[in-house]
Amino acid sequence: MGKRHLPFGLLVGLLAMLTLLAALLGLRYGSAGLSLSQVFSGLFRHEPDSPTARILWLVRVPHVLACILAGVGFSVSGVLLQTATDNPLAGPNVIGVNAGAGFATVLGLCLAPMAYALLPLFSFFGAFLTTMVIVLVANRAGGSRITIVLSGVAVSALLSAGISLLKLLYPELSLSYNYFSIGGFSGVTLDALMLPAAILFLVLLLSGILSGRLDLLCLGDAMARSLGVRVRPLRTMALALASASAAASVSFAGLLGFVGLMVPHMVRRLVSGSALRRLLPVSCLLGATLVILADLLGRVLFAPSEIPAGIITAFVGAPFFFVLLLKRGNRL
Amino acid sequence: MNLTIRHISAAYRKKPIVEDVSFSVPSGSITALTGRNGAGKSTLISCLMGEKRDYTGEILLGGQNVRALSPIDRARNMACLPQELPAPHVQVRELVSFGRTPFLPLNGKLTPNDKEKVDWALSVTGMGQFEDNFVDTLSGGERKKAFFAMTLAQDTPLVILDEPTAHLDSASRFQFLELMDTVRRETGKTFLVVMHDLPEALLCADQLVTLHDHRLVFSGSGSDFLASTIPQVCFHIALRGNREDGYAVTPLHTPPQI
Repeated sequence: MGKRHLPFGLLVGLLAMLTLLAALLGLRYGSAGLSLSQVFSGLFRHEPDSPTARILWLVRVPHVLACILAGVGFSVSGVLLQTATDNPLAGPNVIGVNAGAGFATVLGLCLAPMAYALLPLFSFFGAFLTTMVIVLVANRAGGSRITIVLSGVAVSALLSAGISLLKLLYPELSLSYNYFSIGGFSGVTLDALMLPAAILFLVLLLSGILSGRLDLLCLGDAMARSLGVRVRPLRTMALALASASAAASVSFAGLLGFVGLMVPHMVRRLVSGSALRRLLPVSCLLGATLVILADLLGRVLFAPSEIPAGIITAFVGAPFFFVLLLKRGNRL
Repeated sequence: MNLTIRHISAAYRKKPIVEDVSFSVPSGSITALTGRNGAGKSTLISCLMGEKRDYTGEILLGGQNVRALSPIDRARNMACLPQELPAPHVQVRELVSFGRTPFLPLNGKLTPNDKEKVDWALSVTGMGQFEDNFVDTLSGGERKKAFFAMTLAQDTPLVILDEPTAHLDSASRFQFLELMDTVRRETGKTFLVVMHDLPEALLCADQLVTLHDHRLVFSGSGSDFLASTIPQVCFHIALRGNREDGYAVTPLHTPPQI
């Protein structure tokens, strides 16, 4: 018998409350502290010109929503990737999201240095197209989970070299690129979140529909095929969904590290079994909560200065992985 | 449902692996596919399961060419238990339910009929008592049975087992063979079983088929197999005994020539 887990409904309920609580804290605290009553009146009373309402609607609400979307996007991407490749170390960087988005962003900064509004689109398509190239190469080489990881390494190395070259040729881009590569939510607006939110909704919908089939990939390709599953198209679809999910998040949050890798592992400890219909909702809630808290910590730790959330997630994520390795070792 | 294999030839990088193999597996029988390592057994199974499609010849299941079957239709007609099994972190009942996949809609919802078949598979294999356990915590023998239950839940007329008793201790091996025989008698399913252990094959199979150097060299009953020179020539062993008392194997150091 496995270890005891909380009943699924109770776990989801508790995590939903935790997410709500974290969101309230995210709305309340920042360089200017607000009381809870100020938060509620700013949100629900129609006083758009009051200072509280402006702080909330122009800064805090977009921030918290961006955290929620990034948490959901990176976590869902990680869960789908680890399922599709049956590799516990798979994160968005394995399918070239980081390298692809990074290269496209640097390229965008070179080609149109003033067109900041276009950068999210560059990073989204950079990440997504890179994944598709990796999947194409891997499929030509047999389409197994190993070829995906190896072609991901090769394509990522190529694009990383491209990033280094562009940074050498255009040294003035380094500062903008560095902020993007750390990951954070400074200056995010509600408008910038519309498209990523729509993409994430679609990814979640399709992942839910395919979850029953995707679960079979844990049996290995041959056995999944003997159960009538068309493994290669299914895996390609899962990778495309994982890529779209992470790329949508990268487009407004930058390369927020460790969330896509850390959250799926935490969720697997909380949820009984590895059925996606249970892993996905829990990942969404936990990912959102963690990113809100990381962002909050970055905003209040050295207020009024702010630390990008990506630094906090890396500081928390790396030790978490050491602990996980030491505790679970080969059973990862 | 009987299986007919007609003039199957397959190659890997232009090197012949299976050459002009023909035999039939009668409906409701257990047929042991034997042969030494590299004889072509696994390639033949890959052709059967549709994993290798660049073969010549015909494979007919109940008179229908399996090449024309879609993956779903193939999975509704033949189940396969490979030799190497994964250890996924899923509960035994969930794993056995995976066997119903070819009959389920995309959302994977089981009907009462599906649940009945899962219950039967768990019960006949004795895995009902472990249904809440995680597969990655089971012993090798229990895991084999859990996957066999999944294969049975698939409820196909043809079941292909690739060395199902490999890595099992002696008691578990015989338990598994008895279980297979029980299922065959209860359901009338047809079994094609890749076997390396000839005494086990002689004990459980109605028919033996032997591949040697990529060709079919024998197809017939156990008594015909014992009476032939196949054990000596192809396997370099001498076989003695009968079903009641069991079989004894003696290795031959200088194999006779054909």
